[in-house]
Amino acid sequence: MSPFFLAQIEEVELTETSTAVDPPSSTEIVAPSEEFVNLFTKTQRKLYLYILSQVGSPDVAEEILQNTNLVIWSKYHQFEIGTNFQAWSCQIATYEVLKYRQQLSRSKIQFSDEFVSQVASASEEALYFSDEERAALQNCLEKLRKKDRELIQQRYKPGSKAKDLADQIGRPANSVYQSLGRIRRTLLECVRRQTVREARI
Amino acid sequence: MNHDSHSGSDELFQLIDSMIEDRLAPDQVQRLEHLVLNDDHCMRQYVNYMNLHGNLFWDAAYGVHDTSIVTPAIPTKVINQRSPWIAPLVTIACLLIIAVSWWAIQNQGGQNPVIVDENNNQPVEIVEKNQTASEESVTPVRLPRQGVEKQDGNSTLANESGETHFASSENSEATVVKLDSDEIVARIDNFLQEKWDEQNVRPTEIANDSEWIRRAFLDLAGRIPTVEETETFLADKSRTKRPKLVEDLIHNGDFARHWTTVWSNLLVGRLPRNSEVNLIALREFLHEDFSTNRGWNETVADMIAAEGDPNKNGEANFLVAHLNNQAVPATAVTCRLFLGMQIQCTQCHNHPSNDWTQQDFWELNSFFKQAKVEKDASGVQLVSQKIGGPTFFQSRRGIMKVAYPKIGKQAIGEDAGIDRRSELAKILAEGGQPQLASSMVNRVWAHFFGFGFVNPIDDMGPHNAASHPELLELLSEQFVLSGYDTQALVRWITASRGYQLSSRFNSNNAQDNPQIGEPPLFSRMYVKPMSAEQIYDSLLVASQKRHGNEKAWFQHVAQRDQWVRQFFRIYQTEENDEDSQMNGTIPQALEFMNGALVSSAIESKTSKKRAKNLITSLTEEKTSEAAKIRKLCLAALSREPTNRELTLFKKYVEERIRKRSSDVPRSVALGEGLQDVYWAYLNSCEFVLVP
Repeated sequence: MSPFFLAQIEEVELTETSTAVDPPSSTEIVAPSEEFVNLFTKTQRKLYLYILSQVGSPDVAEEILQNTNLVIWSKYHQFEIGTNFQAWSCQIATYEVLKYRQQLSRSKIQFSDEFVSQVASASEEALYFSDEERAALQNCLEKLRKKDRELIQQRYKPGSKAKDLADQIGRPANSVYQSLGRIRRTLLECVRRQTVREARI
Repeated sequence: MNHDSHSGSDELFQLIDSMIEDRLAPDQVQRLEHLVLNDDHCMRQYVNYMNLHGNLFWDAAYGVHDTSIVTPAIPTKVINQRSPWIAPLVTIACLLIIAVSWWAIQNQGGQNPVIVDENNNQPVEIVEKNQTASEESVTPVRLPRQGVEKQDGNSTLANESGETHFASSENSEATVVKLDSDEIVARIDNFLQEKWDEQNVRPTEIANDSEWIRRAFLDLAGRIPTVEETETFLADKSRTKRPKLVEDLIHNGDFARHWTTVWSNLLVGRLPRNSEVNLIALREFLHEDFSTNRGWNETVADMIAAEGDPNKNGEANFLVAHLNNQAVPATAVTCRLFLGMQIQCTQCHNHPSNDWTQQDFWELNSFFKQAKVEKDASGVQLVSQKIGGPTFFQSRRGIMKVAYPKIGKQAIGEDAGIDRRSELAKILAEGGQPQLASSMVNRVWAHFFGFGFVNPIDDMGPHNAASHPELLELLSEQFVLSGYDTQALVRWITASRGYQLSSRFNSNNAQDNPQIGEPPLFSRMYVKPMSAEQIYDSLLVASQKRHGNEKAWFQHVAQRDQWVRQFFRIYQTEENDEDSQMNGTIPQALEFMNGALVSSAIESKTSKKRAKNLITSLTEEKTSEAAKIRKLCLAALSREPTNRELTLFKKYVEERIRKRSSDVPRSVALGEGLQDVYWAYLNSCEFVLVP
């Protein structure tokens, strides 16, 4: 853990005891339950996937996820334990995506409203199979040739871009794009095969 | 997956890939939307592919445990600014909450080392466009990312679902569904294509009909096609003529006969050293099973549990041939032929590369302990003695060890009353050893393609990876579900795209060369040498001597055995091995050039008893020389002659006629010329190869 964070915790523990004054607001601040924190943690990745499908850019999706988390934490007391956390948090994410799209001058990809709303509902449905797919993906990565697996790992490292990767390994960018595309399609097919849910096409 | 959606998907995937790399132009965005919005399938593909990207990103950043917490920025917008000290209090409270929950999870979950990622230590600032004076912005803290820890088995937290919507999928295996033939063939094609894409090779073009009919006949019927069969096939315009030919060859019994030959050779060889072995009885047993398409598991079970007189119970001959030497050969051959694993080494020590131990060997051997070949005045009997108890063997260091009947995880009792071979037969027949299916699939695949998924085909194991593991698995599963139906397996394989390909290399698949040790990609057909029996039968076809029905077949086989035996001799090994000289050596060459078979093929005599053979008929035909040469080529090589061949041979024949014009009548000279042409064709490399 970063020393910065540790310092913050100490700070908090010290100051907490010294605040004896009751805040004017009558809202009692109760820590979110362990259950909530659990749900939150487990849904993180799914929220990310949900957002990513709607905005198309991994960096943008991460940013929006951050915003969404902000809202989730601030509204945790509004969530009723036992109800559908995924649906609740997806709704929050939807609003954050909407807000983000209102600042469209920044984004490079401009999807239509129609597209986003349709994708959102398809994507939310798909989340129910997300765990299965994720596990299958781990499996499928193992089945790749070592070279291919390494290429994928390099590409998806945080902050990495395919073009930089191409420079790094000394191959023409196009060839790297092709290879990556090919490997992804292999993975996709492999994952599809392992997750038995659709009737055969 | 139909073709249209496949190509549509390609475009879709390319667009998505570009989008992820920030290379998507606005008009391409529109195209993407158009594809996705207008087709449900595309929508699903879009979501799936985006999820793939997303998962790869996420896992690369956060590891496979999903225990990461991406802490939110300190909430700013909910702060009620009316009281100036609410803000810091709420801030502290939130931090406290985060701290508490952070500790809680850390104490609960796995031990994940937290690695500070250098690139992401800078706090991320959220720029608010609509900043009001009342809002304070606090720099949020982003927690350092956790390192990726490799864990074998399934990740625990990711699948403990509190949600009740879906069952835990990771631990439940998908049940295997029986597929219909078309589906299986489609999947075979898919798997092959996948590998080609992965390896960046393009498959060779489809074989032409001449290549293909010769291949099909040799693989299924063990001989080349006759001129009539070839001409009919070449002229047939039907699009389904290839699978139809396969059907015909199965239906008319040619396949069953050929398969009998193949397995008789595998099971006891062409020169069984044990004189008690009755080859004919064995072949009758096999032929019966193959003609009726009995499940392979049952045939194997019969042979394992066989008893009685090998002259009457054909199935007994397998063990009778190998029970010498304490049933060591029986153990090794059973394992190699039926389970696809070479364990002969493990008689004396643990296997150097696969995971068989000496203990395993002797445990399998124990199953054969009760089997004995008894000879008395009345004849020979394979019996199961009522004995029990352990089998003793010595480790390399001379330590005496003990083995009880056990195969894989299945052990049976050591009691004298238990019939061990019967139990082993049951284990094998009822799917107790899935290797029975996968080794057969591998073997049958290799029969048609020249190479299996695992090579050598009887050396399967963890040390020897399959070239197409999922395809092998699929076919094995379906083979079992079909009831070990060999004919079905043959149909799937011969209907696949791979089996239609020519054997030529193209500019792109030079690496697909298993002959030199590369893993096979099946992007081209691998040429196979003919077996001795195939050469014999093909030469007979070439001389227009057809053997007809089954009764005649057994006679034919007896004669064939005689011819074949000159090319084989026995090896003194633990496996009753044989050595073949069918590989272009001098005896073979001599036989070809001067042997009776070839002579008979090219002879030009007629007798009242025999039908006219090819040369004679051709000589008498009122056709051009070119037409005659064409017939010879079709008869020998199942194809049209090339222009060069035509020119060359025409010239030769005309020369011949001219030279002999003073000594013999023209027809005789013509016959001689044609004989020479035919001899040339029959002695070509092309003749003895399966294209």
